[in-house]
Amino acid sequence: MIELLDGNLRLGMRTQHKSGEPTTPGELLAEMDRLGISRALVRDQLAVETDLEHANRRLLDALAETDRLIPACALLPEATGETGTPVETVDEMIARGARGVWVYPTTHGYSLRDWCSGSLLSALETRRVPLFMLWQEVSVDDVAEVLARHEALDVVLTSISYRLNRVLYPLFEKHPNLHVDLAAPNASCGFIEQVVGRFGADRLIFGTGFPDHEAGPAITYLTYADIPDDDKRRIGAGNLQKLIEGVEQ
Amino acid sequence: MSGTRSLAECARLGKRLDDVFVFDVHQHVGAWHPFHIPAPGIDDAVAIMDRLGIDAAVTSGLPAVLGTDTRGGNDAVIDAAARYPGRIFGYVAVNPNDPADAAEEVKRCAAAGLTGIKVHNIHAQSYDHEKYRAAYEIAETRGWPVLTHTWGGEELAEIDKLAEEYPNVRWILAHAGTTNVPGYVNLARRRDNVYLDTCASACYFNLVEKLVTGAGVEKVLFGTDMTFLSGAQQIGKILFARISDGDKERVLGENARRVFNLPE
Repeated sequence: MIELLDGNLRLGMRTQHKSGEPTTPGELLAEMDRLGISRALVRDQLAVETDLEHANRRLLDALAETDRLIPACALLPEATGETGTPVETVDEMIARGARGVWVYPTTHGYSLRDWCSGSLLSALETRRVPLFMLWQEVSVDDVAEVLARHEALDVVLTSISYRLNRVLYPLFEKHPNLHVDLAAPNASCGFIEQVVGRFGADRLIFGTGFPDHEAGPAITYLTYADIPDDDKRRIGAGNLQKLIEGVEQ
Repeated sequence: MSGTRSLAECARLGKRLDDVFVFDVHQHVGAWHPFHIPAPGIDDAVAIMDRLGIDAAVTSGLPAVLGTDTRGGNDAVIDAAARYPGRIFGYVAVNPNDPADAAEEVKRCAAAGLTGIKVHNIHAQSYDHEKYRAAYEIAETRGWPVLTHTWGGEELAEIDKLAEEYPNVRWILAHAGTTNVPGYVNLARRRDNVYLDTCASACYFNLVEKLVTGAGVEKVLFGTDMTFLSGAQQIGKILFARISDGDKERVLGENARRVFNLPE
């Protein structure tokens, strides 16, 4: 059985909470046990919808007791001075165990281009912290610029639409630092096989989007893929493990 | 169960479902270029069915369902069913805006072996449209299923009335629960001849459990929407659902035996 390391798990309640959705570390771990997911990189929904700084503190505190849940903090660009300088913030979060960063440019009302977010992106690039973003939060042109200007920054586009291949493939072609995860609505028929064949298995990261989405579809998308078992192992856990281990401490 | 393993264990291992009858009520065939599909053809779909253990499927022609080439799309379905007898069955797509005679097209396709109707409201017409009704009359006489594209809106009320008017038709609501879960489960529970198809790119938390509990397990049918969507991705919501393996087997295929008049 291949190991699964989930790069896209959510802690906390969202504004439009659905009854029964897991929100605590214990509830997430119980679901991971049910599905055979060994570890996960976890983001906090509080950072998206209300208080980003409180969310980061809460996330780092809540996950300090378990090595199965790895925190991924949320950050803002520095111009408005809300969260300290990017270098200081990134230093602190890495010291407290974070191994990834999420940004929400549309929801938080800023541009990911260098004129607005350059210092934040450079701080992440310097420490080799992987950057995660929901594809709905960014334009493909912004993603293309980030990938081109920050070649040492690994970018993971999450929960992509099954209708994106015509823009994804040229980005894969030009930018080895682009990765995408397997969370719904990524459901393109034959996508995993074609991406592995054309661009290599290291471009795909296992991620479920749970509990926004059920995790089962992302699992079978991978386990039933028509690719070699070694590639399944890389996508299931190896690729994300490499990104996490690459963070400079 | 599949052999000695649970269905969730099979899914986690990527093991083919050899000992379970799996029937996909929602596939498509034919060219489609508004977005890229890496594995678009009927041969791709059958290869995926082989890998997962999907025994058979019912398909419809994309150019007929969503485009303007009704006859050409339906011919692609006839060809696919002829190439894979017993594996691929076919729906006749009806386009209410096509000036051709809908009843004649259904009869032509029925003579070629197709055994159901597919309708889609992308054509901006009510499911109560007279051209659709010409097809429903034939479905009523033959006890056929009618697969309807739905998204939880006012079309549910239309189908509610039609289900009463055409009691021998088995009305299948595609993409059940994408929105308005109560609307779907209440309709399927109220009408004996209304069924829910699970295919959708996203599966929200506990959705399959809500459909099974709300509508009754016998009313939920497995669909993939291949090759629009990945069959491998779609089957995960059933195999990992928080329901018994017996109920998963009903959803995966046993319920479809009754709806599609398949042998036990």
